[in-house]
Amino acid sequence: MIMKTWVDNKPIWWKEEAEGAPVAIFTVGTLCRNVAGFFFPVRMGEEEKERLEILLKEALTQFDEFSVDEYVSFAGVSPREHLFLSERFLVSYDLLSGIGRRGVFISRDQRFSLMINGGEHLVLRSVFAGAQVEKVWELLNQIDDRISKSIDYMTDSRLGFLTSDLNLVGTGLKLFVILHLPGLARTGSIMLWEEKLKSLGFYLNGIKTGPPVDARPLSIPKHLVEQGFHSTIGTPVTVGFIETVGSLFAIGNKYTLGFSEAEIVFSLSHMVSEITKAENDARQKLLSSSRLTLEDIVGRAEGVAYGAKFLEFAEAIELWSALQLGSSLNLTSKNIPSLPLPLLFELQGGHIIINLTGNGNNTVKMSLARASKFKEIFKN
Amino acid sequence: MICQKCKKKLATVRYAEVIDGHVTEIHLCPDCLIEVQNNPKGFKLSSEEPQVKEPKETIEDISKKAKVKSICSVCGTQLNYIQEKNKVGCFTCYKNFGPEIESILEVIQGGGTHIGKKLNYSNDEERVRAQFLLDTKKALIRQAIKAEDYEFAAKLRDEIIDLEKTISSWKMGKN
Repeated sequence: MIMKTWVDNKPIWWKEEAEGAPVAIFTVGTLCRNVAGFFFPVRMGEEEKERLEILLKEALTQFDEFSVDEYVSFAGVSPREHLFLSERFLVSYDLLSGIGRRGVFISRDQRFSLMINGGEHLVLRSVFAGAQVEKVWELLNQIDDRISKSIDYMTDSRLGFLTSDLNLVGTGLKLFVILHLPGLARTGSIMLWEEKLKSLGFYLNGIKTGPPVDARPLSIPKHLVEQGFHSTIGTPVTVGFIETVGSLFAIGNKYTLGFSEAEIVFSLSHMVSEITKAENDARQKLLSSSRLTLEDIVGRAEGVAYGAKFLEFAEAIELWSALQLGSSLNLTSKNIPSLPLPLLFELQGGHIIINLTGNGNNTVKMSLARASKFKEIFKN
Repeated sequence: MICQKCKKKLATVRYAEVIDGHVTEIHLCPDCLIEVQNNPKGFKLSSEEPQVKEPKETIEDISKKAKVKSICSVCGTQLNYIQEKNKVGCFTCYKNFGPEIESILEVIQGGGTHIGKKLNYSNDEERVRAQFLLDTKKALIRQAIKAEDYEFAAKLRDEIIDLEKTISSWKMGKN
């Protein structure tokens, strides 16, 4: 029932006016906390996990946003129906593929989630449209303050918030922004940004479809997982620049130790705004130097998007990317004023399969459903 | 061969000395070797027995120490697992493998200390003590189960649950 509510009700941030759009697509923040007195999940037995789950559920249901009925337990349930939550970045892939007692609270507006017994005891997640790093941190901080009034966190005077993963110790804060950078990718200047960001403690990577490397396989067909974007606790699943799909990239903080939250938020916001400006400049340069080539790319994409009966996920993302670029440079026909944000999410395997009914060849049905999603944009 | 020094006893050792840049080799009996070694004329190239520094610790001490150091006494996490996966198993791992964890943090986080958000727990020392007590009890329960002392394990289990509740319900600034 709860699952149906989440499928039917779209996240509030899908409808928002997005700052930094269309270059900045969405911002994700993750805050990791562990409860004093318990082993980390990697060493916890089932009984200890259960005790912690009960303790956290009691504490979190004191929030107006949640009731016990809204807790989704992942233990012993097929991840097929939960895959779309990972694709919406409301749960990390680690939680889906984890072992034993674990689950998630998701706010009714799907703005934030609280994951229990994933890689860490408690992982707070928040998602906003566009580049809204400050707002993401503000919300996470507020929730964290409220929880810390009823739960005692595991901390150290020198290392800050202690985590099982040493990559998260300190602030426990990981932020990233998903960017669409076809201009910088085509001109090759993205390489210069990578170096610059690296020296400042940030990463800029391509986005990869499918599960994180070394993740436990889910008990569902692998091709289904491959048709979507997923995340680990702190970062999206990424690859090198060349292998990225749809010119989608992620920028985020590498370090959680030695930097304050304010520094991370300020620097990331600044960097995102710089890259957005550079991307818009690169697009204008491309337009003046290679207008015909761009028109050809966008025109072909429009033709396929309008006429295709079946669409594979990778092809659909490339089409989305071309149309998004065309729309921002007014190169598309009048039928496509702009691409809606939900389209990017609804093209993913988990989102499509949850709405499919009946048996039969799901691969064909999914390709058919995906192609029809594109047609909807021409109707608007 | 007869000793080239005393010319009486049987030579058992070939002895080499560097004098004024020239290597001189002579065959010596054990008695003459001791005498020559005590009054060398130049830089020794070889001796009857290799000179080895006495270790400060015995092999047993070292292996015992390595055994103790490489596994967390509380949660059983191995140091090589931490080094490979960058993941620790419990609060005590941070204390047991302090220098090793510092080295890992130096590589993956660039080192440093936490300068971000802090929760001002007024009972910090008490919290740390209680955490260690709890971790010790958890280590004991594993031993008790291994030794099939289920009565003691059950007692420890109840104590652990009580302690977990106490620690996790401490409120910021309240205690």
